[in-house]
Amino acid sequence: MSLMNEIDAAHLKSDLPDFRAGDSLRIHVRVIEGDKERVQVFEGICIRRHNDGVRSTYTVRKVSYGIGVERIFPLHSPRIRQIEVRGFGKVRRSRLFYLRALKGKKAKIETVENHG
Amino acid sequence: MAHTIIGTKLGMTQRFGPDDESIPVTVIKCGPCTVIRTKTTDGKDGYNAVQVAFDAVPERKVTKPRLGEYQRRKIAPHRILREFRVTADEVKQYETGKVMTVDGLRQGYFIDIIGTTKGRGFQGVVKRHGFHGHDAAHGAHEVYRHPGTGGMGSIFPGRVPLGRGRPGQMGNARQTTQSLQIVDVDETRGLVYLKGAVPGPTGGLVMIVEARKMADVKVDKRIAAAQAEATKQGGKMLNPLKAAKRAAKSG
Repeated sequence: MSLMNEIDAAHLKSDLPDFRAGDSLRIHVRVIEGDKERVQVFEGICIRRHNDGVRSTYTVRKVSYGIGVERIFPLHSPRIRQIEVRGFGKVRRSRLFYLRALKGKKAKIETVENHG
Repeated sequence: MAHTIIGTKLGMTQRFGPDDESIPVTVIKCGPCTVIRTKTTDGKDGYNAVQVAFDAVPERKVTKPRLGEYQRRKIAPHRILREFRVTADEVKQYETGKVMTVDGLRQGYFIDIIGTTKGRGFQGVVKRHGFHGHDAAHGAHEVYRHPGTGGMGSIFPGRVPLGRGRPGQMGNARQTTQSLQIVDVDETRGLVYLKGAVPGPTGGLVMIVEARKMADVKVDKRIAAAQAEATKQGGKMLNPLKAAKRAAKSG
């Protein structure tokens, strides 16, 4: 598998911030509508990271007008302009699917200064 | 024939394309392949073909009759020997000792790829032919994954139709996947990136051949022409992979 890793190495982004499940993120996505191009921001909590080299992804969840919305972003996609980490969350597991069943205050995640 | 080469499947990964879209790719380590000999209609073989060797190995790894074939032509012993049929014109471009690399392969072109599928052993009709199986309830018992009837009627037609699916060996068979597009070529490492899946396991032997159903036109020129046309109309950069697909389809 090492040759495959070597092949992918050149296509990995090196300027990615360190973040985990539970962290609050702002994702700046380039959107192309017809001929126009603009940047859209998706703000929410990272509920899952899937680490697999160039194919790595992460899932961001937010509640929009009372509807839960989740988007899966490719970590190394050139379409992602920037990943902004707004806060570190204090969570005890790596997959936060339990948030889907919770709302209001119960769905809130305690923040910490850093992950240490 | 320009696209023919033997290689090994390295596995699948992902690339981001010209429009930043993600493309699933299979990486193939191709060549170098050495031409052992050619066969022609004029010679005693009676048909046109090129014999190609791939994957050099130490002398002790090949059988003595094979070794003789290599030594006679002063070519290092190889593990794999394959023959490709070519036209009378094409056979003239080859001679013993000529080394084939990924040079003939270009981004955007379409190829067919031949591999040996993963062996799945002796399988029933549900897995092998996609039969639905039977009810788990309504009184059915012990027949959940059985094939059921072979055909209709004892008088008409009174026989099982040809091609009726039956249990048997699945996989470990030669398979051709047609019209895969070349996403990228890495000439220094001899790698070819193909869009989509390729038959066989990682490490399996594959052969890249000319595409049967996609025109092997001057794809680069067609892309350049399409780009020029788009620029003239004030458009932006075209996606070369998509332009190549349009060019190859239109013939």
